[in-house]
Amino acid sequence: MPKLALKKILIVDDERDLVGPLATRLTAAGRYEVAVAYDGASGLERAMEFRPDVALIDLAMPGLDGWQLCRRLREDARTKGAKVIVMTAWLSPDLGKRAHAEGVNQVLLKPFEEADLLRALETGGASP
Amino acid sequence: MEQRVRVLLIEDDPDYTMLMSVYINEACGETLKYLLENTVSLQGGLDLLSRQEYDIVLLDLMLPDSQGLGTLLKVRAKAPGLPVVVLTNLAQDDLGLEAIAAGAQDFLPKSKLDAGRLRHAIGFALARDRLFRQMEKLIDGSPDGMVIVDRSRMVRYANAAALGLFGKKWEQFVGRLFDYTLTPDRAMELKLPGKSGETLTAEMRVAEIEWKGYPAWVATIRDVSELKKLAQVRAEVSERRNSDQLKDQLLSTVAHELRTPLSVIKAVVGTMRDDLAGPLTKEQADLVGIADRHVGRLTRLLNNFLDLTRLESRRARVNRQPFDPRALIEEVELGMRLANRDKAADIRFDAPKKLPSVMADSDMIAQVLGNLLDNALRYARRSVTVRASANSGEVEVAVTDDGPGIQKARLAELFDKFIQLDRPKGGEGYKGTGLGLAICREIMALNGGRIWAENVPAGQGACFRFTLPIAAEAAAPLREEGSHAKARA
Repeated sequence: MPKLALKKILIVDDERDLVGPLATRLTAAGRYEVAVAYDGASGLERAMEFRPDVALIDLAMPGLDGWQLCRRLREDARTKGAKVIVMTAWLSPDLGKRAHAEGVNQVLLKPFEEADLLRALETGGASP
Repeated sequence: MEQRVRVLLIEDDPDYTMLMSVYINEACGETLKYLLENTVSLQGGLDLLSRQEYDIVLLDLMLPDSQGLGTLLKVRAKAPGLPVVVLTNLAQDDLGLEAIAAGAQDFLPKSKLDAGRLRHAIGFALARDRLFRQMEKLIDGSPDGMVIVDRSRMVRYANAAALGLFGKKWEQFVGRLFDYTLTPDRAMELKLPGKSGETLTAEMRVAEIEWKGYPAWVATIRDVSELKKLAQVRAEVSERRNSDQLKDQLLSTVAHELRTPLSVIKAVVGTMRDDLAGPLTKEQADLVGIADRHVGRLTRLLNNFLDLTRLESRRARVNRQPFDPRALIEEVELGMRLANRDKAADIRFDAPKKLPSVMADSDMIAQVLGNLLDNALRYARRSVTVRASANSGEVEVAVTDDGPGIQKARLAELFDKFIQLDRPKGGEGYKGTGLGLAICREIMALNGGRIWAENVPAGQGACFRFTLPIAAEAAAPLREEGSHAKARA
């Protein structure tokens, strides 16, 4: 029953070693229902059936990358309302601008603090 | 206007001298007078030449104390600019031509002499001499070395610049063999010994020329040592700049690449630390705690490094806006107080109620203040004091600790990269990155401020001060930045 109140989080990252601990932590927090995918294409597929409230997406992925995945989510009626948070290890000068243009709600720079991740999941769809 | 031509006749035959004076008198006209002086030996002639001025020399090459072309050369050496007409005997045309090649203006066969011919020869010699002098003047005036070399590769003329370049006197150079290959229309590089033992690089260009009626080469020699050095320095600088850029790029790439595995380690260690992978024993928790702190340290190091690289490359966006320094200090201080609740030292803030607005990027200044407070808290015994004051267009902020102070010799290098002082550590296993103060210095430079460190007298601690321009004053010197800020405001 309480499961209905859980916030749905989809984690998409080809770094499986990071996805595991992140999913464990979010699940352990007790407020989230977590789904995971390890590349952009399966992330998109998973998103359509899972309908996440928040998509936590790595930018650098083989095949469909984080930017493309974000665009596809925004294009589809089933997912366009989701909050999108992108994760990246690469801080480039125009990252914020690009993220804003692509409709990303927030950017997390790897490595990030657990507290920052939780705050990002909880705050509203504020633009970066 | 009467023109006087002073003629020196060097001739040992008295009959011929007599004849010559008759012709000379005949040759004189209304406006043109010849004054003849005679001497019978080369030595006599050289003596007269050193005492008196003449316009032309009539020279017999067969004198009691000197015979042949050598006679001419000695006269020329004594009076290099003076035109000489050589007197030859019958069937000595070859000698006459040789004399011209050796610098005589003309030759005059004695047997064919009469007043008209003499006047003509003297007039011609003087006119020809004037022309040659024009050529010599042109050459003398050149800042490049110029050498006239005849077809037998003998140096016939050289200007002062050439003598300087080759390091020779006139008599050591002119009349001697020119020791370099002459290749017309192609620049050649010469290595010449310089005055103080260095090697000069000179560029020589050779062209064909007619010199005093004979085919010759003119070699123009330019000292290109400085140009060469400059080109070399320029090449070295650009090479170094390239390799610096490559190094920065490489380091930046490595730093970024390290962040991905680091994020995994951080997540894994955090999962264990928070017992999300099952409860830990005390010993396990201690070990995980150590790993966690070092992950934090590595993260700080990478972030600082990337910050500094961005600041140094001037790619950082500086958002200068007027802000209240007091509010910023209070905010940073509060954050520090909360983060360091467990520390013994406390932070005091001492500033006038009202400070003027400053013009700077407030996020960057918060980072500077955070770094300084962080350092100070690590070294403080009991307290850290933050003071702020306004004076002459600036707000000065001073962060003082009551720790051991900084070695005098190291005050200057404090703000360099990867400098960590051997001050006693603050404990808790927290280690700095050695980049914090370098970042502060870059930020201050980008924001029109200054930063420096000093010791509190008598080993009572260290004090770091920085200044920020007051907003009104900042608009003038940094107009571009100021107008951006206004446009955004």
